[in-house]
Amino acid sequence: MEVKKLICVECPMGCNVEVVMEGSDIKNVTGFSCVRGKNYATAEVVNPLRVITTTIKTLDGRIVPVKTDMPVPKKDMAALIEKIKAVKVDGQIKVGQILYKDLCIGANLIATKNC
Amino acid sequence: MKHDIVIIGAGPAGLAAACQAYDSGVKDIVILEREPHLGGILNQCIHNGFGLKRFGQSLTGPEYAQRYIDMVLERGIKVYTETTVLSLTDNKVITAISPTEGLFYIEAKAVILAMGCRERSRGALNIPGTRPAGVYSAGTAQKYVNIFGRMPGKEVVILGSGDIGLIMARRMTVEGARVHAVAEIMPHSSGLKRNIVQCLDDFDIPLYLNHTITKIEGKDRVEGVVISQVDQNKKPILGTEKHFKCDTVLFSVGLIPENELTKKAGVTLDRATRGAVVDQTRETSISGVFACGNVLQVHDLVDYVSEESAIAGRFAAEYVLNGKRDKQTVKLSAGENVSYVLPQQIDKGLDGNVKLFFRVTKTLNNCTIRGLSGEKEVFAIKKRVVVPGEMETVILPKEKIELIDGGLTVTICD
Ligand code: SF4
Repeated sequence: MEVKKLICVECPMGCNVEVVMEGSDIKNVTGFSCVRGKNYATAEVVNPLRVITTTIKTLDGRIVPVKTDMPVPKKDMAALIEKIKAVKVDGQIKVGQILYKDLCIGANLIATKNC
Repeated sequence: MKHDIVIIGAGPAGLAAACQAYDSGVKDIVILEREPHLGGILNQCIHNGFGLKRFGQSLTGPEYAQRYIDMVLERGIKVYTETTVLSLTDNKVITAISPTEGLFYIEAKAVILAMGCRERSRGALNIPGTRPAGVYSAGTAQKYVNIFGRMPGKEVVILGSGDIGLIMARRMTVEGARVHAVAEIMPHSSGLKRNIVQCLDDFDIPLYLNHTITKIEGKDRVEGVVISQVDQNKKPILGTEKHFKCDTVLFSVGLIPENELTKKAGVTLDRATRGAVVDQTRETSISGVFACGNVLQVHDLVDYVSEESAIAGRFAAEYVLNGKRDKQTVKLSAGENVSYVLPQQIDKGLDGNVKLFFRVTKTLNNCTIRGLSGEKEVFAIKKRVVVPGEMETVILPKEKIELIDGGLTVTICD
């Protein structure tokens, strides 16, 4: 049995959640104050996800802030960042515009600012 | 020129105040903004986590700003960009300067101060050593990376665990830099837990609590830093020095409300918040002058800035429509383990609940927040945990406000 200690980040309360694991099975979850905390902790020990935010450059050198429109696996972050940096964009860009379709697990790369 | 409401600053506070003032019935509103763009500091905060309370979804800074920019533009509210306000008088005359208008004056019926805050500078910290290139505030580094697309350096040490420092630890790592350490002089982080987890833990960046930078090395460019552990009196302990080779030092040691204009106008300031003293309508000591957002108190979340600014916008509009109110104010003060309470005054003559914002001076578990008026307990609320890095709030219903006699002191005890 292994106990994983996590801080729930779903809201500013920041509950300390403990997940008791046996191998890859979750035996017990404690310390959360609401169901979001339980879900967060469960997801976090099985397959932690993160939204990636960064910037890319247009061909004429403008800086465009971007994000994945869904959380993506944390373990793939480094590879995805490299893939994002290689995305080529041009012309007027609108907030919400898809710059790269299905980066991974159905998440698109979108612009977060009019540029 | 003359306008009903003049708002100084088009960051999240100014934009939210403008929309609410408009929706409360005043249409003659202008916003004055120093920068060429609207949205303020949100434009360089490209990370997500904004808007969870306000919009029920996690937005990036530019996205959050865009929602309010659109709301302001839909309402046809006039904005002067690249316009610097030089002064404000106690009878609400504003002197400003802009490339298109030159020097101009505005007589306002009501003014909303929404200038935000600035970063505490390194000079205030008195660190021994040379003054090489490569030392930045975290916010300056953020502007370089996110707006100009330039990296300030490759090997980084960060002093202070404020949210911008934590965010920049992640940001510079994503851009290929190596962040060796974050040193925090306090025994706790001053940033949000979410940022500790997702900006430091995710990238295995060590956080040294009770540590500070004791030396910066390098003549032309930073070559390294020494960090040391500190004792209870924040004095470095000899023999605990750790050396890091680095080319960049970032400082994230707190924010200060930007109140030069406010001070010169003669508005009474609170020494604890460094912002104006206000009542629950966010009206300052000068009648018809309101303040909201980070110029009033440094918030953790932009969502709270929007919420507070809507209050200022609504009451600024009421001031224009109905004129000056007679007030029956009672004073609020910070008691044990509380560093400040905002608003600092409550006008008992007004209807409605009042939301109190305050910060604690240390982490407390299983504690009770009490509001005391003399010997009388006005409210008592149990909390599992309070931390200095996160603002606390209590909603004071009208019937509790009625119980306040003279003043109210907010305390927190185990
Ligand atoms: S468990 Fe619920 S209350 Fe606790 S931090 Fe998570 S979301 Fe917030």
